Amino acid sequence: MKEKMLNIIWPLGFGIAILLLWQVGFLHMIFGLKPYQLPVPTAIAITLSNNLGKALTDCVVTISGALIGMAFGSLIGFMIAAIATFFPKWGYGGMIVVSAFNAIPLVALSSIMNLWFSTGMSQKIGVVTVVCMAAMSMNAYKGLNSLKPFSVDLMHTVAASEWTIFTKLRLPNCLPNVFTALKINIATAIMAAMISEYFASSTSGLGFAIKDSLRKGEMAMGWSYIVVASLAGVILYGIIILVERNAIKWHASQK
Amino acid sequence: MKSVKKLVSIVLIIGLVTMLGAGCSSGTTKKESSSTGGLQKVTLQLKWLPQSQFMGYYVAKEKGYYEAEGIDLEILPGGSDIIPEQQVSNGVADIGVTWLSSLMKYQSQGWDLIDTAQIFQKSGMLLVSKASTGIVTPADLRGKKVSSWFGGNEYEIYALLEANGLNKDKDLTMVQQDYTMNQLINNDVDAASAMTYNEYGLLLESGLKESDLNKIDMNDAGVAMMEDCLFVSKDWIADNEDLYVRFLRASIKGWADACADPTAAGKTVYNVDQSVSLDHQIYMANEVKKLVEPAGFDAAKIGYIDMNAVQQTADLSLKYGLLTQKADLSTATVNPKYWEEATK
Amino acid sequence: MNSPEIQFKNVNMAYKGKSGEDIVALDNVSFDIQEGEFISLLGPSGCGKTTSLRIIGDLLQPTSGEVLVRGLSPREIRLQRKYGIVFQSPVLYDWRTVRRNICLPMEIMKFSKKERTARIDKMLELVGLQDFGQKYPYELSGGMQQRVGIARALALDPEILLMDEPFSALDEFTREKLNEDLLNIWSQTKKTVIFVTHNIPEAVFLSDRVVVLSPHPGRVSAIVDINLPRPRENSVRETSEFYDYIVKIRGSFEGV
Ligand SMILES: Nc1ncnc2c1ncn2[C@@H]1O[C@H](COP(=O)(O)OP(=O)(O)OP(=O)(O)O)[C@@H](O)[C@H]1O
Ligand SMILES: [Mg+2]
Repeated sequence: MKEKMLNIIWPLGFGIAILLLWQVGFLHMIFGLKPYQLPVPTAIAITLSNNLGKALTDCVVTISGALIGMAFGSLIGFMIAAIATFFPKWGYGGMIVVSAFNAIPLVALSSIMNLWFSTGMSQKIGVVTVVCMAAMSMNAYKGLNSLKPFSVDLMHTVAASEWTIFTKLRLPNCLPNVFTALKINIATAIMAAMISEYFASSTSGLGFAIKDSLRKGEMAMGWSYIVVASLAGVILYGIIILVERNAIKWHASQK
Repeated sequence: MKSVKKLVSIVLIIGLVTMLGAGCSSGTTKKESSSTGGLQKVTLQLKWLPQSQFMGYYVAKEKGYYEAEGIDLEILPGGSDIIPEQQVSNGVADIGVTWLSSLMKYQSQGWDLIDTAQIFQKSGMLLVSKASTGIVTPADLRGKKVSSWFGGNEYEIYALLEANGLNKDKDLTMVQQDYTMNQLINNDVDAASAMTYNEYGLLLESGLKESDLNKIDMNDAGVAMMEDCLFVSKDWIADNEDLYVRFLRASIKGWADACADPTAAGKTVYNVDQSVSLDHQIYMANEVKKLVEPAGFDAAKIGYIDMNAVQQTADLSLKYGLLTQKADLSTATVNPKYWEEATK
Repeated sequence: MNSPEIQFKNVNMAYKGKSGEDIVALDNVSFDIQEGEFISLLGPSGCGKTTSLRIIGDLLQPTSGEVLVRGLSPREIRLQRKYGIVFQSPVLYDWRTVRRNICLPMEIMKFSKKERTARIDKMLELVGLQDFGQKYPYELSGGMQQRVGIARALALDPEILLMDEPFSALDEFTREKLNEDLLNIWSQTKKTVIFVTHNIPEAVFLSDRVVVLSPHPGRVSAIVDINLPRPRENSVRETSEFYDYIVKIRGSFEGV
């Protein structure tokens, strides 16, 4: 228990210390920045509270795009992994294609999707979908196939069908890997959604707002959006961890 | 409790990456003008890619006007995430080219930057639509999808809309425009921003005819804001006043030559950067000439700061939301004395 | 005498090594098992006990030779769900509690809910894990996990029970107790049991016959009938006959 507290207090204390040093201008001194280049935390907070309505609207746009894209991407990635499990020859090709997708730079992907879709939301969902497929298909494939020795034999002994083996063995076995992929994907999804907004044919979303404010030199405004994006990321990550805790209590990572 | 550490790192990563993405991570490195081979090194940050929009500097450099003034000029190309105000402010460049409206936005937020010469005397901004869309007057934009590059380039459009009784948030949809004209060509938007000297030319080169296109000119609509100007930081100019006057003198000479023979100027720029065709560079040179030396403008006054135009830019910026407070137009922000010295 | 329940005829098994070479695990192995017989496969590590058991259970195909179970192939018997297997390691599913691990084969074989609950309760008691039904495998010791694996196989009450060193992870007390319990269950149902062990007293105590295997390559070096009276109790371990069998089997190793 004490150790748990310490584990929370340390990073928290570290964070607060950084904020303080930032506020009193120590960071500006080290990096040689003027306050208008790097606004202090209180300035960011005030800007944020004055602009909260728009910031939240933008946040909803970005996060909903990120989540929908992540859902699509993760689902497709998982299905590819499942197909690869049932039909190794076919599926493996699919896995390779997906990992090749993953190598496309986000910037290029955003521009491509901009041509394919005419609204900012669909472009964003398209980009996020593509970037979320790879992590899920790789991890899920691993989870579906790296089974403990003899666990399939146990199924064969009672003449279980491939489908039964899938639902009663492979599926639960890959849950920890699926959560690993979701944790990777939530960060990737938010990032990709924001970067896609840099290029999107739209004016809503945190990514556009950050880019637009920073280009106009509205640093406090830009930082306030960064704060909102980070908070949203942390909250979503936290939710996934909570769900994971309850879903895979039995797994080594949860002890 | 690995997760708490992970949380912290996620915050840091999102923060950092966004910062990097926005290109605002460079620290201040104050640079003294150093001498090489008897020449003083000066860097000029362009607002955009090397193109005839900046032909004056390329012509002056090619013809040795800077060397004659004892200057070794390095020209830094711009790009979508290179912001001249930030480059000059943190010392990556000594002198910058930017739009006056954008400069005012930075000045109003405390950045110590000084406007010193106005190269473009008119606005080059158009709002272009396909004739088939039926947009002839600004009022026709109601209910339409209109695009802009944003990042400060949207305020002339905002001014145009509001001056014509349209609410930018309610009466039409504004979307972000990329650096091609494909959105307009593919009918993804109804009207798009276009510079006379660049994007409008791209549309013509794509096969559209002048008769296929309608354009709304910001100058005609009375909402023109001043664009390409030269600015420096307060710190740098304090130590380099004489150097800067020499830079201006050479640059103005270059601009005069370029305007006298835009075809040659277009070729000069093309020799520096072949990313667009020679024809496009020459087209651009001819259009830019019209902004630098508009009809009736005294060619000897290239770079002249028309305080009325500056005032109009400031007023429009304030009225339509680019600025939140009245611009300070003292010599701390707009100072023509270097230009006056250079053109003496 | 009826035809044997299981016939192992001239079975050869060669695994492929990493560099493609043959690793001979069984070399021309033959033995029969009668219906209702309790037979042990005994031998030192690496002599092919697990291999033989897996071949009978159709988890492995021999390189050559014939294996018949009730006159059919092991595959047909497996598809008829006649086997119950206890593996050498527990092979529990981490995401299932002890009860649900025991339940798994019955679930797949569509036992009624009532039947499953009753059998699970009975088996938990048999292996002494009444209080651990709701625990996850990681909360159990290695020996406890192994007992869950045994309970899972016994719960099915299979017609042919294959057990691969089920008690080797257990302490001497638990082992002897479970030996007795196993004999009890077996004497009630008289199912065929093939029991793998490297423990000579255990093999003698449990079996009707002991097939002694020798390693490298795996061969049958002796088949010893154990004519100790049944029902056997732990006291049989102290008799001189019991001791004689141990000496005899040990001798058959030395003969290799
Ligand atoms: N999958 C495999 N690949 C290659 N060789 C194997 C494989 N499984 C077993 N062998 C080899 O076959 C031989 C017999 O193995 P087996 O597992 O049947 O022995 P065992 O009698 O069960 O031994 P133990 O008492 O240690 O469990 C051994 O020499 C082993 O090295
Ligand atoms: Mg073995």
